[in-house]
Amino acid sequence: MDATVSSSQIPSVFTRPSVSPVDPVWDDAFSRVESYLRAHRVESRELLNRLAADIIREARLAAHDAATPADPVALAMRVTHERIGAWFAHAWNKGTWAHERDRAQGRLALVMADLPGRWSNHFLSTEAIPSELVTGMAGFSLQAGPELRFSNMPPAPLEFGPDETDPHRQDKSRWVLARAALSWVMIVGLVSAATAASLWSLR
Amino acid sequence: MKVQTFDPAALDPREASRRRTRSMGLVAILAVPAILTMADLHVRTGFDGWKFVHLLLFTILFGLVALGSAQTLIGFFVRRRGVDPCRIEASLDPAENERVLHARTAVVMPICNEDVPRVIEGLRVMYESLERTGKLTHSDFFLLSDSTDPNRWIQEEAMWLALTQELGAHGRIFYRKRRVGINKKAGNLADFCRRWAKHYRYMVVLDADSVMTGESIVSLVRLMERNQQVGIIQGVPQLVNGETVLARLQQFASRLYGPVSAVGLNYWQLGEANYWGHNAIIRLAPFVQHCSLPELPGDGPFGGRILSHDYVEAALMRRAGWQVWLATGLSGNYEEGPPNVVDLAGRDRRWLQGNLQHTRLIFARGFHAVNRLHFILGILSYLASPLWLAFLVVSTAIAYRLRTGAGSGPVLSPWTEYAHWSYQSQALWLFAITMGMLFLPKIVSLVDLIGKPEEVASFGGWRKLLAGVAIETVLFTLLAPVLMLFHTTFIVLTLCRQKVTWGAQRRGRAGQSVPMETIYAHGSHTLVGLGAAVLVYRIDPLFAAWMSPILAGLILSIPVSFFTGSLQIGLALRAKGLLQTPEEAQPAVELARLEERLAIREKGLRPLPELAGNYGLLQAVIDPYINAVHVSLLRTKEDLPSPSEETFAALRQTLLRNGPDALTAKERMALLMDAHSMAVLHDELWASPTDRLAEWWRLSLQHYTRLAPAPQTAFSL
Repeated sequence: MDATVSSSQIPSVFTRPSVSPVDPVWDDAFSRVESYLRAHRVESRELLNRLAADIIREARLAAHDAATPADPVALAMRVTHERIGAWFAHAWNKGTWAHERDRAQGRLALVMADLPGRWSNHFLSTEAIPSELVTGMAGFSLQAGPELRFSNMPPAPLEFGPDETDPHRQDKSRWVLARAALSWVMIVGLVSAATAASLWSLR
Repeated sequence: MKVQTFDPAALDPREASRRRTRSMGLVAILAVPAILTMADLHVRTGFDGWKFVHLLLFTILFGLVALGSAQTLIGFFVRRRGVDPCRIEASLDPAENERVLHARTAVVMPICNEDVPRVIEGLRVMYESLERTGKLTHSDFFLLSDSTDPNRWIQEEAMWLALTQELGAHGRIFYRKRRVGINKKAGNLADFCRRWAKHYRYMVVLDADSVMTGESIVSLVRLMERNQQVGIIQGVPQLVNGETVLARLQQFASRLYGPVSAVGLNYWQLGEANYWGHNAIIRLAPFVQHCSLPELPGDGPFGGRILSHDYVEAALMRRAGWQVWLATGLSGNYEEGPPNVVDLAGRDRRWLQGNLQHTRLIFARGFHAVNRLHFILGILSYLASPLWLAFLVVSTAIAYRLRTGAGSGPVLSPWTEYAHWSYQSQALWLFAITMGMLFLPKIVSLVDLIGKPEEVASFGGWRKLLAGVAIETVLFTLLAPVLMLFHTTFIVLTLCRQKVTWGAQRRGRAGQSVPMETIYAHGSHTLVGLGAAVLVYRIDPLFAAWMSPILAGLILSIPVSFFTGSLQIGLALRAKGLLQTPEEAQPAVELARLEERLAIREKGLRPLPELAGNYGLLQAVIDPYINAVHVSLLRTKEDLPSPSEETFAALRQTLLRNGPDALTAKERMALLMDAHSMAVLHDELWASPTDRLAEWWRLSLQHYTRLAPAPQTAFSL
């Protein structure tokens, strides 16, 4: 029996969408795009799947049209960034998505507008973006500290030994010395008296 | 009705002199009879060089014990008479309590590689508490990081931003990370002062484990506003949140004995109090002008940068004419203690070197005599350990000499003849006096509770309170010789110029004793204890019996240390209501909220063990949001010279192709500090085909993968 099946024998339900066997490199690209979107806290399976499939379709077209072969993962991520950039242009109407630092700035705007917590299902949506999200992104600022107002803080001087510039030094030092001497005389006297009394008893 | 308030500015200097004379007089009254009795004992058996050294050491050590006892006695009598009129809290007119304060205040928390969830949750409860008061509208919070551990650093950034978002506190809670942590905590605070001190009138300084209620912060600001000549007010923090046996012992002891002693301390300190480095408020203008720490002349353990900054800052503030007060009655002021003996010793190691360095400052010009006394007492608090060890060694030598017939047999002195004292009974009396002096603060603090049934009930009632005192006394008696050996070793190491590392305190489950660490830390103590036991027993079995508490502490140091660091036993004691404190019985709203928040954090997922070592780097590179926050917080540099960029590019490639372990810690840190590299790494990693990434990154990416692993069946093979 012939094991091969001709295309005419396949039921029409399987032929309508053009499905080709899975290419592992595009599978890897799909998985990467999906993971990247999920890293933006998009948790809806339906949305993730739709977005990733759409991006991969566009990337495959781009690969087909490209003069030189490009790596599918890199290509798919480039398309992803373009898609995010376009969404940003639509939502934020500000900045550019061309450079790494700009993209980082854009992602920061998403955090500050609480996209991960509240608006993840609107990420890359082509429909109207909630005004609260747009306002949050437009008005964001990451303030790690107040405005700098520098103070001069010179090290406190430390000096050792007697203060030669103090006019009262002589008087003060005499008084301090006298008090110290008197205290020591009292202490030594007490100890001596006790010692002498004990020694006297040993005679 | 106008309430009579205390005005610290009008405090008569003669009152301070009178109080100090009384305090020192009481120390003399307590110490001199014991010292004379010891001298007499030595004279009766023939005075010699050994006994002279012995007497000298006894005088210093007994003097210190007497100082503590005198302070507690004074505190007791002051409390019995009501309240001390000369206390900073008495300067406030209660009628003004409802007034909203407009003084701009910065609440600053310097941190270095601390447990980030604990730090963030501590900030949260303080912020919420302050917000609830509604009275301090012009206050900002600062998290001042010197963390060098990339994991902690990235976690700090992410959790700080999440906190500000949750609390809606953008522009009210700030985060600053220093690239180079020059001069440790003092340098960290000085950096804050240089950048932002002009915005604020006051700075409330916290430790990483501090919790201060909003009311407490407001009270401190109010006190500063009322007393314009005061530069620093130090609160007396209560130890809380202890879970291990040692942490609970410390908080029980400090809660029971601390309040009486603190009143006694304030009695003689008055406007020349000390600053303990945290849970205090500082007037910023004079602090910036007068309290920047100078370098000490010379290098080595006594020169160079000042390590223990707080005492010196208090002395400099006082030198500039500003008063420093201790607020003994301020409630809602908390901190945490070390969870086990090894951590306690580690903390002491850091403090010890700083305090020893103050030796030079005792003789610096211009400091107030009381500040010099603070320096001396700070030094002696650690120097007492080698002095005690020397005392024990000399005692052993004297016992040996007496045993071998050196010196004369005991004779009667007129005094002992009059008192009908035999040599043995005189020695026993001296021992009893010494023990009495050691236990006096405990006894006085217990007596202070008589007639205060509510306070007694908050400790669990008399039965549990006394049981707690017994447990605390036995365990601290056994631990005292261990700490003596630790401190002595640390002093020797410091003098040998061995550097001190500043690690973060472990908390919770992480704070439990680790068996191998305990054995390693106390193995030498056990050997010293065994050797000393054999030696003193051979000299005189009776002398060995006298020394038995010390010898037992050393010989049993490993099990005792392990036991006191046990979380399970600590929690079991808590369940039985033993070592209970009022804060534990009825925690403040802030402490309860902190516990609740930390329990939620505890439930969070932990990274895979393979990834945990570089989890901060992982998040900073992979996560789109954490990467964005991290890049935004890094200082933007001008375009790097081409060789530097090439070096960074090579490091980035190595990191992606070979994983983080292919780079040194310094190289990983260099990448984390370079904003351009971090932004590029994020894009490059996500755009790299899987087969070109290191296995470590492939595993990391699985965090974000939607698919569960394929089912493991016979067909999977």
